[in-house]
Amino acid sequence: MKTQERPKGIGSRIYDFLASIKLSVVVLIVLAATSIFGTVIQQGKEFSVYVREYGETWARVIHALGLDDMYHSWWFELLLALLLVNITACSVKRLPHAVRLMRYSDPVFDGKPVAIHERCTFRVKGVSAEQAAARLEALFRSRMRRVFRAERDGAVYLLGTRGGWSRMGVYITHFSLFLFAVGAIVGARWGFKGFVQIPEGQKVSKVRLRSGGTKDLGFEVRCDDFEVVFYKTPQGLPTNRPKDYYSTLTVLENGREVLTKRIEVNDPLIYKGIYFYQSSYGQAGAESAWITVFGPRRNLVFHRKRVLRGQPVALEGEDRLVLRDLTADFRGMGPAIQVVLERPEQRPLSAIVFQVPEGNHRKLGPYVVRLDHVDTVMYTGLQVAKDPGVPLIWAGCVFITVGCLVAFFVSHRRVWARVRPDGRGGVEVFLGGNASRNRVAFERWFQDLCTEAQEAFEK
Amino acid sequence: MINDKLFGIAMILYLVATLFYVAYVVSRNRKVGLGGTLVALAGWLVNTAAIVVRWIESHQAGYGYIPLSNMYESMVFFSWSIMMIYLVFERLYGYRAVGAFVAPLGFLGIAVVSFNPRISSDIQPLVPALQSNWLTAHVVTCFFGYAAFAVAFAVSIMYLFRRRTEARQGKDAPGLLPPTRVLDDLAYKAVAVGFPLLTLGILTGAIWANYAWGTYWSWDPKETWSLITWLVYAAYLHARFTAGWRGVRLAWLSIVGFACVIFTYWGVNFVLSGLHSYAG
Repeated sequence: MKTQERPKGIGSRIYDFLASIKLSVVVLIVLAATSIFGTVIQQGKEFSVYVREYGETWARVIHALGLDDMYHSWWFELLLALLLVNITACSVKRLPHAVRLMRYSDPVFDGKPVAIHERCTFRVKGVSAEQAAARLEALFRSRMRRVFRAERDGAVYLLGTRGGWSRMGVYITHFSLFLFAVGAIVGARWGFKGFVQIPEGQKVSKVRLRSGGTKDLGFEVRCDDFEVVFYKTPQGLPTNRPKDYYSTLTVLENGREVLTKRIEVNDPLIYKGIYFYQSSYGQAGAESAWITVFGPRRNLVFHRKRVLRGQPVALEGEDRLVLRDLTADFRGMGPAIQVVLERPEQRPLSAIVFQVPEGNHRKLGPYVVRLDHVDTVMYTGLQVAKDPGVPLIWAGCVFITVGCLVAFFVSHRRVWARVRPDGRGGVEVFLGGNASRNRVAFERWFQDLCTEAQEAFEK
Repeated sequence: MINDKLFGIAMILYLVATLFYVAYVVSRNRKVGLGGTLVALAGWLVNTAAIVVRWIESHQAGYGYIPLSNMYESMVFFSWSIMMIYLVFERLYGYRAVGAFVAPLGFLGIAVVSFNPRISSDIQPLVPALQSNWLTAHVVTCFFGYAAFAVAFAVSIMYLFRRRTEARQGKDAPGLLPPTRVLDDLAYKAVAVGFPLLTLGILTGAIWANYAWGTYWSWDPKETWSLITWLVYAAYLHARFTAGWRGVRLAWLSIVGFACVIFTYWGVNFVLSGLHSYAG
């Protein structure tokens, strides 16, 4: 009876399409190509920014195509979803065969569609098939993890296998992509990203969200102290390049101190799943300066006296010095103050005094003023983030690493043996081998095995 | 400082190795080929010494960090990685003709940063964001991946040349270059090494970003371009299982992939801008 070929139904054709690796290649390339747009066109900015950059018409086109936030656009997410569907279909189609290969345990290869890449044959005199097979089995057991045996038509067949589990490497790798997808979705849905600036000594309970608006933390974070350490030149002089900066933060629940940590860049504070990262810092405002003043007879009027902004300080006689303004950085030239000398019956004299170079003495009327130190109040800039999807992402990282290593560097090796009596009191031995990876190394390993097998009978 | 002089010597040795390898391709003289290997190895050893000396010199300058943080350091490390991965390949598979196409890349890596007036070889202190062990893991895995892709790129270039010979004279034609099936296989092996390394590079970058900035992925141009590179090589690995995608198309895909590597590495810093612009 002739078998008739039934035309494939539409469902079957769709399945074949979705389970084809050709689709994978196409989707991967389309994802790569479209991603380029998002690196050339600024992402997530206001419409006016695009108008300025590209003009009104193109700005409208960009917005309509979703290119102003393309990685979150519907079509990009559709492409990602298509890739995941494709991976699922490919896995469903190919996994059964991979599992069968992993579990392969049939020693008999004659008349079966088994791909044998390496082979060698030799004769052994004066042993029976049973004896020879026993020797070979011992050899196989020393080199392979599992050994199977069968007999057929007076011949003994052996199969040794090793590394069959490496066939799962590909599926582990692909599964990790699902973990990434779910982790990203969980993070987007239940997480937030924001930032906040806390001046030293103050506390906050709300943070500004990157997507706009504010979020109430449900507790308070206080900045106890901020410190920046600058690099020194090899001679020991300070530079203005920051080496490290630290904030000491305290978490308060209902006014009660719960947790204190000194954080620095790359080392955040974690509380209730919310991460506080040291991100930046700045000057919140300078409030006082330390000043030294010398009198007209080279006498010392006062030494390193702390003066507050706007506060007049008495000099000799009725003269007064007022600290008009102070800053930690005046036009890139470092800390500076503006002082005014008030003398009775005379016009006030004002001067700007710098701190560096060290020992900069500024003549002001009959006095000499030196700025020792400007005390600034700093603020600490923190990135604040909560992402409950992160554990899934880490799990994905582990899976993809293990999966890749297994898929690329572990080989499923199988060796077969067939021992047949040769009708002259000896046996004919055939050895065959197959490896899923790195055939060059396997070739050498197999040759070693053949040599060892022959030597086992020469003893 | 000594380290930049050592890099200069390594660069010259790589150039000499190129000449030896090219001479080998033309003459097929085994001794000449061995000469190429020995000079390349010598260059690599000097390159290694240069990196160690730079590390020591950074300690003497008061900063003390593993030299992987700016354009000069990363490029000389790139050359080092390319030559290391190539020499391992040569040891495993023996095709010295590939050396004629890879050693120039090692030479160019150091040459470009040595002769570019805009790139300084001075040892500069690290900004706080770069002071992390994750930096070392991230940079090393990325660059080893890039280096393997550079070898794949060189082999793919050879493939395109060889294919023209075979088109005229058949697949077993004698010629200067190995047959296409060998080159195709070598390119695949190189990508099969580079891809897991790039994957690890992207992952360590994400882990580091999470501890430094609170987010493992922000679609910043550098991150996105590294993903683009990864996607292209993922396509390459899968294309082998697709009929009609073997041979020439694969070679071009590997070349496009390496163009993405170069753009990820250089283009983003100089053409685009973002969190990653540590170009100085």
